[in-house]
Amino acid sequence: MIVKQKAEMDIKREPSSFRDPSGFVFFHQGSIYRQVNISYHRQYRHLMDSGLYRILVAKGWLLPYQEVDRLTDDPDAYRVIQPEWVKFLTYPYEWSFSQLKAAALLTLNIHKLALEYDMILKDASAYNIQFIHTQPVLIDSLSFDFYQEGSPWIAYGQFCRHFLIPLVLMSELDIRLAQELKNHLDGIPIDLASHLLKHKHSLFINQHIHWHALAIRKYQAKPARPGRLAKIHINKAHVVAMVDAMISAISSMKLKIKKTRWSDYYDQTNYSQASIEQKEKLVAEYVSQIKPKLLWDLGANNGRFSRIAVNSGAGLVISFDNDALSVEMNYKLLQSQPMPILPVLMDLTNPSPAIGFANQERKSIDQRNRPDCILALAILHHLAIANNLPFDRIMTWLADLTTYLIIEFIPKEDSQVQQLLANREDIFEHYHQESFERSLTAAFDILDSSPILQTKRSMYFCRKRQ
Amino acid sequence: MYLDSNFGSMLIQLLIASIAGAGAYISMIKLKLKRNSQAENRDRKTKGRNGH
Repeated sequence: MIVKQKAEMDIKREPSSFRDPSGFVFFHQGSIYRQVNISYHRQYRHLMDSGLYRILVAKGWLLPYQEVDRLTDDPDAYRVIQPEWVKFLTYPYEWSFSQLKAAALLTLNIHKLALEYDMILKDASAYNIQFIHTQPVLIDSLSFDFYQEGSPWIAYGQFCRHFLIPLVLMSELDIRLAQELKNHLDGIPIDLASHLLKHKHSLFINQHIHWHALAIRKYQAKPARPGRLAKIHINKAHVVAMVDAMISAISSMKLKIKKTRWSDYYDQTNYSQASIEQKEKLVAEYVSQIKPKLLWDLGANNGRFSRIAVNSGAGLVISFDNDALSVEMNYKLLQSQPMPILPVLMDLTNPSPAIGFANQERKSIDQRNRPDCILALAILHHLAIANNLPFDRIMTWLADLTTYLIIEFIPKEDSQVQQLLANREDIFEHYHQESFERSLTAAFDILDSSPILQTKRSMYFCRKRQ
Repeated sequence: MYLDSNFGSMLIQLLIASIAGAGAYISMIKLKLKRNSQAENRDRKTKGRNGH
């Protein structure tokens, strides 16, 4: 079954999969595959035959895959595996504090379990983790290597840069500092973190950040002596104790910030009970008509309407918000009541770009799975007034992304818009319903529209023009 | 995959792992002592009830 070869060469290599000589990811006829190279066959066999793969999958820690026929004549190929499809990719700079923490703990727990099977995680990149709804999962099945008695954890520095440092920065200084991951593809540099945290000196921060930075600085300047690495011998029990201590410290990390402008949004809106109920009913009605497989909820806050969308038949909802604490609240709510919703931190006026080598390693938001439906509730005025985006540009952007659109128009007289205009000159003479509808209908056909009770707001249910 | 070969990162692990290892050892000893003392207390109470 496995050795059968095919001459078909219509495979497309994943542009970000080129660093690891153990194999690579490719696409064939709409499915995703991973080639395991001969150079990695011993590690692969141990992962499969030792029982480690089985237990990792049973725990939901590793993305399951199955071995399939080889699809190419590549002489380097040992096996081809077909992993389950991750419906929507996200990156660590798009995660909330608790999402990054869950991904960090998963990485440490996998490494600890691998040690029991005489293996290690040879890399600890946050990009090897994806979220299936609220659950983080390791997607890189080639990340395992043999444990060598006495050797330190080769991925420890990377773990610090990708996970530990962003978490400490968010917890100790500012929740927004994880955005530095966008600027540093291989994680936030340890010396930079040490500088930013110069007034913070717990034992944990000293060990993993300040002393770590000092050690790197000291030995970077010295010429490398062959064999000096072999002189470092760490007892396996001590390695496990270090991992346990990191798990314990990271588990107890908390955010100090409790409130932002948006974190109690639903307590401060100007909706009456009747108007919010009607809005919920309209969203449920529209979503249930199309039952989208993938819905993007833009400006989702704590995901209130994302939940309504799921309950009305949406297969998976991506809840975007640019407020880190709102995304955090959404994720925590989902941890207690799991639903097919993925909270994502994203500034829609400056969405995640394509980054990495040749701008191909991490995808921009519009290179990822596009939605069947977009929910844009109480967000238009932020885009148009707070960010000076013309209606035409917004509608063109939305029509490029989706087939169906559920959008709320909030007129200038609304107190929320008045707040936005309170401290600035009103230069938005085109911000009115007629102009909005003109731009909307240039890109979409309106299937239904309805005023929202006891407000001057309106809801529109639209389909992209053919 | 980004292999980190920085010697400083490896060396600091030796220190951190040793501290963690020592901590784990001390915790284990403390736990053993606590269990022993609980067992002794239980024995004492049992002996007391039996009138010895």
